Amino acid sequence: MAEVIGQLLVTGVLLGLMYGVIAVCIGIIYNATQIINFAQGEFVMIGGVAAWVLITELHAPLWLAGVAAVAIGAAMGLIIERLVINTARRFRPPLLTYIFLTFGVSIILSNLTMFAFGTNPLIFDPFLGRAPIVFEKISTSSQYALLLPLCLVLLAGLTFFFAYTRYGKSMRAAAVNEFGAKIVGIDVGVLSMMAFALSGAVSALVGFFLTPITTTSYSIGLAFTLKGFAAAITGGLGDFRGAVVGGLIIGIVESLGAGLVSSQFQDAITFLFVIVMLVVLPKGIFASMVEERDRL
Amino acid sequence: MRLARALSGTVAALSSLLLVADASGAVAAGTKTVKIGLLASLSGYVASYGTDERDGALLAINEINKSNAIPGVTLQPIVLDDKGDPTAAVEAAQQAIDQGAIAILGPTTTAGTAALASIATARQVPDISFGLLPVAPHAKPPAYAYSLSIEPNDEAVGDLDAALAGKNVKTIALIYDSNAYGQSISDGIKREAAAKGIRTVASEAFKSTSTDMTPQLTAIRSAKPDAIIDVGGGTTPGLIARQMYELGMHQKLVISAVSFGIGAVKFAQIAGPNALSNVRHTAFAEEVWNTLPKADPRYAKLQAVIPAFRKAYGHDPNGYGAAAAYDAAWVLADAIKRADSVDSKKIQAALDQTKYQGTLCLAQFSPDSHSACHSDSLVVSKLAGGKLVYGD
Repeated sequence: MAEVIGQLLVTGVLLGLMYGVIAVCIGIIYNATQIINFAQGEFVMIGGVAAWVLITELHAPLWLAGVAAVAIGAAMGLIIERLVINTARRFRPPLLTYIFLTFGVSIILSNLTMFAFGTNPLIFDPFLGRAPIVFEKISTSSQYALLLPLCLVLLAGLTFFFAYTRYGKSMRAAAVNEFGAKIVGIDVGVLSMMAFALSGAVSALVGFFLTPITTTSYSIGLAFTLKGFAAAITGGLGDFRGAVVGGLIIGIVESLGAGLVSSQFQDAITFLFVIVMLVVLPKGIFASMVEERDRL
Repeated sequence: MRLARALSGTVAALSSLLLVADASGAVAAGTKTVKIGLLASLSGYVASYGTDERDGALLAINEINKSNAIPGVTLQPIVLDDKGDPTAAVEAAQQAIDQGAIAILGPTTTAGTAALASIATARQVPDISFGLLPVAPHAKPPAYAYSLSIEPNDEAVGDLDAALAGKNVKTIALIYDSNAYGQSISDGIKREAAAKGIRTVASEAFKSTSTDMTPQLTAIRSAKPDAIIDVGGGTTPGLIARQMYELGMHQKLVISAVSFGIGAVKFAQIAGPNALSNVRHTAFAEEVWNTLPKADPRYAKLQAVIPAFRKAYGHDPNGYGAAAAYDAAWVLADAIKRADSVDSKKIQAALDQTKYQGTLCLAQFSPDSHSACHSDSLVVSKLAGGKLVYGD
């Protein structure tokens, strides 16, 4: 039994880290703009598809595919921000409108990808070969194991960016009090562009790493958005520690629920857990930033 | 380049539609053009075989019109996307019937078939579905008078036989898609196994969109079955085979027929070469068309149909789908011809007397059976040299 629980925990942690990074990306945009981006999963998809084109069709080296995926993710983020969000902003719509706008963007990106690349799943080889990593009868794919250092590096990088760089600090300031940030000369429009570009780039990098594990195709985006969003609100929307902890909780509950309780109700168990968590802690586990913002 | 191929495939599919329209316009004076609904999942989680179903049916309709197979009648398809969703399938069917369709081919999914059954029957428009019939497919008479299916209804028997073949298998585990199709087949396998004294020691479900089945496989691993049967489609069979390998599970894995919705090459690519040695597949004849024994009654037809499909769309069929829809269109044409009428009720009466050798099976309908194909439609196959070949 210990072996089963160990295996389920390892799977849950790795799944959870992935959800956590996507939740962080949702948080980056939310903090800068108050918008919940329902096209977040499409960035993951686009990163995977871009890397697939470079590796499989253009026979580019892996590093170049990774760089291209990140660049394309960032560019897509910028384009969406300028074409959709910034255009809509001029009409000062309610925040709810942005949610539907990003949902619309998600459907358009998904359909365009389907038209260009068809409905078949796209995949390329794992970076470190196919042999699994085994420890005491607990195993995982080498590619999944790569997610651990990737997520840690990404989270360290983002923490540094938000704690020590001018733009990072500006984003945090704007997240707490947008009006105050404007008064002290912070260009909130630039922050919005940066948030979409950064969020797109990081999600696309996750897509690049995930494609050898999960495959990618036009339709995978929404599932990542939903799990990432669940992780974000569980941890406390906009709080990066919360996003990671929320992701881990969801990943572990999903894995233990499917393996020990019932795989038939895997998602039901996960979302029931999220509902109970939010009833007990309505602002998520790390509510500090949310509360700080609400006080103002 | 695959992108170019994908685009050329799309162009070819659209051209084929135009070709059908041209054909309908070019028929001699005095012929009648009748509309039929063609419903398939052109988007959604089963779009890879829904697209093939559309293309397979259009290929057949084009041949039917060109060869004047129904004297004096030209078929005009109304192509609609069922999105892999029963509600969308019902809306599409209503739309087709409202536009004057005298019969419907499709939809893709078993859930869609179930949703359409009562509407087809209420509006008295025959529906030959690509999914399984709703509950109790063996009920006599069939639950819905105008709902028929081309998909083999005894896949469960074929899957279990493949799992039991060769080795001393006393226990099995099931891992299945939680959709209506997966439920239906896995329930059938459990029933068949119990009747044969085989114990089902684990039964785990996953969603069609799942990418990590490690929790389910971990539960199965601890139950120590002799063989595992996977029922599902899209990317999941490849992911399951690979994740079994990663978990150090070496049992025989039988992958149920429709699983090959993405094709053998893609499956092998997802699973990886190390994960294939214990994998067997129950397959449809079209998936092993060029390694089938020549004595097989489907052999000759498939040698013509698959190259024609490749010529029209620039790629081979993915697996299940193209042949099923191709046969469904010809079965309908055969019924219209025998009915000598385009009246839906008369067509249904003719469909109930169907005996038509197709590429999938010897399709037979009767007032007592609305499932055209049975377990003998399936063949056991394995991957060799990156391709699916006939034999255990």
